[in-house]
Amino acid sequence: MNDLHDLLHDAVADVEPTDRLHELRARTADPARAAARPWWWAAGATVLATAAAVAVVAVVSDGSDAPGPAHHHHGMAMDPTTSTQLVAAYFIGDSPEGPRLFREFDRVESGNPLEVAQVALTSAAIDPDYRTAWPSGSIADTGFDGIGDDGQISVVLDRSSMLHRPEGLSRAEAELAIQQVVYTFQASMQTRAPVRFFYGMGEPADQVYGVSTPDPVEADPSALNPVSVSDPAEGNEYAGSMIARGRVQSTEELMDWAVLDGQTVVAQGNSTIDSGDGTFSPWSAEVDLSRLAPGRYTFIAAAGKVGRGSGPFTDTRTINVR
Amino acid sequence: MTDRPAWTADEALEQLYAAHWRGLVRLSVLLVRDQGVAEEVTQDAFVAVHARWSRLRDPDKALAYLRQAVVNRSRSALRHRAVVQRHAATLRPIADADPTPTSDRRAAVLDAMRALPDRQREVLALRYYLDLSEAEIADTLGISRGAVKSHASRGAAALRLLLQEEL
Repeated sequence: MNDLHDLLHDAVADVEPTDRLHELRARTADPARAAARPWWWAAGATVLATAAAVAVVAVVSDGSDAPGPAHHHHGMAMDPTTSTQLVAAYFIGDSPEGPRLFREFDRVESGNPLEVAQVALTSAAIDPDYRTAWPSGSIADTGFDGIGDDGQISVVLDRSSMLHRPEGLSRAEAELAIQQVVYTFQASMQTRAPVRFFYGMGEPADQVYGVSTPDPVEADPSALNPVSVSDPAEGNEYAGSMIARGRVQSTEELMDWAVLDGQTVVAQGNSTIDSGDGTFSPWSAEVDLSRLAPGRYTFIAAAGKVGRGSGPFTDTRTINVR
Repeated sequence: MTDRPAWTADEALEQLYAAHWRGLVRLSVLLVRDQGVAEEVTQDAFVAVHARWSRLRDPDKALAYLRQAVVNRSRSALRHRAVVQRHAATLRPIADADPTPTSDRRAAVLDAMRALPDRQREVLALRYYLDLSEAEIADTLGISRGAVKSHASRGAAALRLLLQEEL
């Protein structure tokens, strides 16, 4: 194994870094200034030069029908294998009390956690009940400068027009759009670090989709739909039985579930909720499908009496029974 | 360290800089290839460790934090550069300015490292350049020891294959 040790040591043996102690002293003397921009703001000159060209083009092409710069859709070009991984992405769906965020686990090509999350967030949800406020290419870049819950997630908007609320996006959806980003990237980095939005050459975005964002944005649990289904995934196929799982926020002890054929209930039951204290807790159910004819069904999980009582809040999945 | 009062953040920065600046820049060069980017990444890591000194207060913890910060930021820098280059590629041919060309053999090693998947490259750099244990690598990258093992063996095999002529 010594060959690799020698090889790597030799490969950088002639790297003599510039002395940057003075610069470091200056930056650490005023930490607020050092943290005011995304961490790569001061990155190497070649990187900045190309970024400048990109920013100009992005602004020029903004609002026209001309295709903008090519946006990566499936990154991870460096990985020669095609292994995949599950990523939790949050999407907007409807509830009895207006739009809420729903979590979906998507299988994507493995890669850098932020990039994987960005791909999932800016792609259509698999569940047709969900939508994303972030079209493909709308996020130019992301970064995380911390460890654990320290630090900050940086999200760079692709176009300055995204500071304003587009037609067709309601005020409530715009606020959820911000939380979509916060929850998805926090999940990908397994952190509670807040999200700071930027645009252009690293200018702080003090509003996004018309929502004021002068400070780093924290996760807001009231954005989440109180019930979610993790399994089954949309369109899964089963024979005999399936295990359904998810999370629910409820003051009840039981959560109802059912299997529907069209509008007809063909199976139903309930699951015990651990806490019942209004925080999120896991639920699971073993669902017997053995008496169902092959075909498409809807699995629905329903949590009643969560908050103001206008429920039930639900989450649904289409399943196929063989 | 027991016979002296604990360092202030500024003192810690000076001490850590003296002991680890060169080694950490070199670690980052193994990850990102470009020395200029490596210096920026490492400098940012030192700024971050200075800001968190009141919570770390211990040179060993600070060094572990620095390593982790350098690895994470190197990964983000690569990603950022990839995004920028993909954008730029649609505008004009990228000037192939690679500011860290060394000897052919050194360049070949750095190229081969860049060709590996992120995790394999990181595990190899931490193991063979910093000589960290499996447990330390697992902590630094936030992955299991089993994953460290598997990235190390796949990475080593891939690197040997890419560098057949150099080994």
